[in-house]
Amino acid sequence: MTSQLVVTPSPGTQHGIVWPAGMAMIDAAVTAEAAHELWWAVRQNADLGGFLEQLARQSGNNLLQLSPFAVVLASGEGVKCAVRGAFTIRVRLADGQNTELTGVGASTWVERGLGPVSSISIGADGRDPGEGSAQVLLRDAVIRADALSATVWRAQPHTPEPQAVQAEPAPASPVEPPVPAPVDEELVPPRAPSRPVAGGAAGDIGDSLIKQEFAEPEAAPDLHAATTAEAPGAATLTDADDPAPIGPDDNAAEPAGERRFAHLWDATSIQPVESAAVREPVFIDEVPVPQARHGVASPPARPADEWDAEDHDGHTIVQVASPDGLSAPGELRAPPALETAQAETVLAIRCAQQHPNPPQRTQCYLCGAPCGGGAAQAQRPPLGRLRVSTGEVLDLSRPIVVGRSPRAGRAAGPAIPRLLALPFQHVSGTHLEIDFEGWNVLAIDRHSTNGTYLRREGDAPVRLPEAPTLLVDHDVLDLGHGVQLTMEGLP
Amino acid sequence: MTADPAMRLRWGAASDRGLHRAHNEDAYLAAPPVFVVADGMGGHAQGDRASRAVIAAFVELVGSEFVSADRLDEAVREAGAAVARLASATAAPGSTVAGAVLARSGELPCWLVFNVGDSRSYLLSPSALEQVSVDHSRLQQLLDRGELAPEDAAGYGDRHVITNALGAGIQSPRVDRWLIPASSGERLLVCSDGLTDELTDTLIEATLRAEPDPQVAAETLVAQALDAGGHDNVTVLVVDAVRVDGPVGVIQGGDITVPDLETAAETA
Ligand SMILES: [Zn+2]
Repeated sequence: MTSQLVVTPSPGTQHGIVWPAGMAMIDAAVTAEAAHELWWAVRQNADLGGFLEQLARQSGNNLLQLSPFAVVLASGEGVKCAVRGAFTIRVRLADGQNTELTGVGASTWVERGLGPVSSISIGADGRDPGEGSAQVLLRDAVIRADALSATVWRAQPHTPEPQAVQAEPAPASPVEPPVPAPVDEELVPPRAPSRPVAGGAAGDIGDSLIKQEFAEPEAAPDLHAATTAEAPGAATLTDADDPAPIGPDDNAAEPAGERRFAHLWDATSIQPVESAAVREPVFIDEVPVPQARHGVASPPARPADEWDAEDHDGHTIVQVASPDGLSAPGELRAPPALETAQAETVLAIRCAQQHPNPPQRTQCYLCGAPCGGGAAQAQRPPLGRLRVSTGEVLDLSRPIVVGRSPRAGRAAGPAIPRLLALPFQHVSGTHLEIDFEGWNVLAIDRHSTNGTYLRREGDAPVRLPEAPTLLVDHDVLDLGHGVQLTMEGLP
Repeated sequence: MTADPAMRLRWGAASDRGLHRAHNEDAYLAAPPVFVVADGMGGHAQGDRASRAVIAAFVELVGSEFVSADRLDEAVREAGAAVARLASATAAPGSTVAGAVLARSGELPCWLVFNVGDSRSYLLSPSALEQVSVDHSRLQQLLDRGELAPEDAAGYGDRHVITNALGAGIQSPRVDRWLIPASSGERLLVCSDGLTDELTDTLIEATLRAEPDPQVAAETLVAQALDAGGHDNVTVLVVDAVRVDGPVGVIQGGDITVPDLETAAETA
């Protein structure tokens, strides 16, 4: 149930853009074509972020060079506004209060979310559209105007899908003959009209403005209704419309012994990913709050200042020197996973020197001594080494992400991989990954631009797929131009 | 032969209780190598206590040069245990945690970005503002499952339901981590949802580009969030990697890889 706007323009020189869920004014210096593209884009997906992205395209995505603009979009029960430069947005809220926004003085622009609104106007250079404006209503247009004035309507929850009409962008100018405006059938009167709206019937439409009716966008999901279907037991409190600050008695009504603590949260509530992820909380007696140890209890007023003293020039700069205990890659153990908290184990037999080995081996892959005895679970040892053509050698003790600027992300599993940076332009940002499964070493191409080729003794080179590929000793991963990774000492 | 891994940082921080709340339940720590924001929940003063307990667990890391993944995990675990100890018969307060510690992978200086809940970390590079962390929220879950289209996300009303937190009766919180090589000129933003619920990512990016001083940038973002509505507590950390020294030059440029027709020819 999103609000809709019905707009009355004051003709002028700036661009006025109107669509059912919003209106905007853009500086006159923007081309008519650009104004059109903007209208077309917001018409498809009228969201403030989308509007701004489209506007940014007009300035080559330089956000600091955006043209002056003002925009108002329906958002839930209220509106979102944004303004940059010498435009003014004046809003009369449904509760009768007035508020005003201007972009003057902001180095970027100003955004504001407001609750239910009864009327809104946008004016260029302080212009306020008065009653003398054109006696027409717009719901979809690109026009030249100096001000737009809107009354906010609330659409009925179950609007029948209107008949599709050929959707072509409206011409900016010259002005076309008007089309009758069926603004009324899917609308209900505003909650608190600030002034009468001229009928809305076709006969009231003036003769000098564009009016086009387009196919409605795909039936928008009724988000408001959808979000009420929360799982039982997870009380969900949102604060968006809280009229008053949370007072000291905000949970006085909580029944004694009530264990559904979600009720107590004033802003955020929690809903477990799956029911298994949350268990009955362990209730213990109240314990004192742990004291922050170094007086950096937060939020400190200006923690940066505290640390200034240790730096040289009064600015918050710190030099971090090379540490000792962390440098050798082989010494960095994979951290225990927080969720599973158990080290990776493999089924192993032992050699005479007690090296763990794959159960099928007869000779130790490390020392060559004979293997034997019963197989038992053991912590997985390093599965050999990876020799890089640049000279570096890495233990295969934890996963490795290889690339020009490689990243290990959320999907990389519980252990933090080692990053191997290869500073070559033909290598992709994140190019490939080395991972393990049991005793196996696997390579996965990460959708690299130029691919990874697997060179195996006696075989023709094969382009590595994006699915895990099993590696064997002496395999070479070739990234082109002599950049190669060689597997050594694999079990 | 090569410089020791090192980073020169400048940073700023700002926090405000907002226009509609009695308490600031956010807490933060901005002191190298730790930049962390916690957003507490629990009503009464419980939220404050939860977020402060989280931050207290990270104080020990301050002053070290780089933080290992093990040490980070330990701090997060400790934070979770500290919040769990605040639970009483009627309430189990909780907190989000998000941020980054300085880490190294081999000789490569990195950001080790992590989160539990819906506080966020972003990286601003010359080409884009990228949200690194992924919210543990009902909204994100719907997006991940394809049950909600990205273009409808902005209109999704119920953005305050999170699926993961420290404390809050959750015994095994999921911690997501990203290890990202740091590069000179990069700017890290860590914030509570009081910022991202109020402002578009576009305005956040524009402000980060417009304000070179990290403290001014943090204060400006908080002021903008208040101006936009200030419905929630808002906390912002801005950290600039002024200079990053590593053994090899990591070539930045995001997704731009020089297409290479020779590779195929050489290897075919
Ligand atoms: Zn052996």
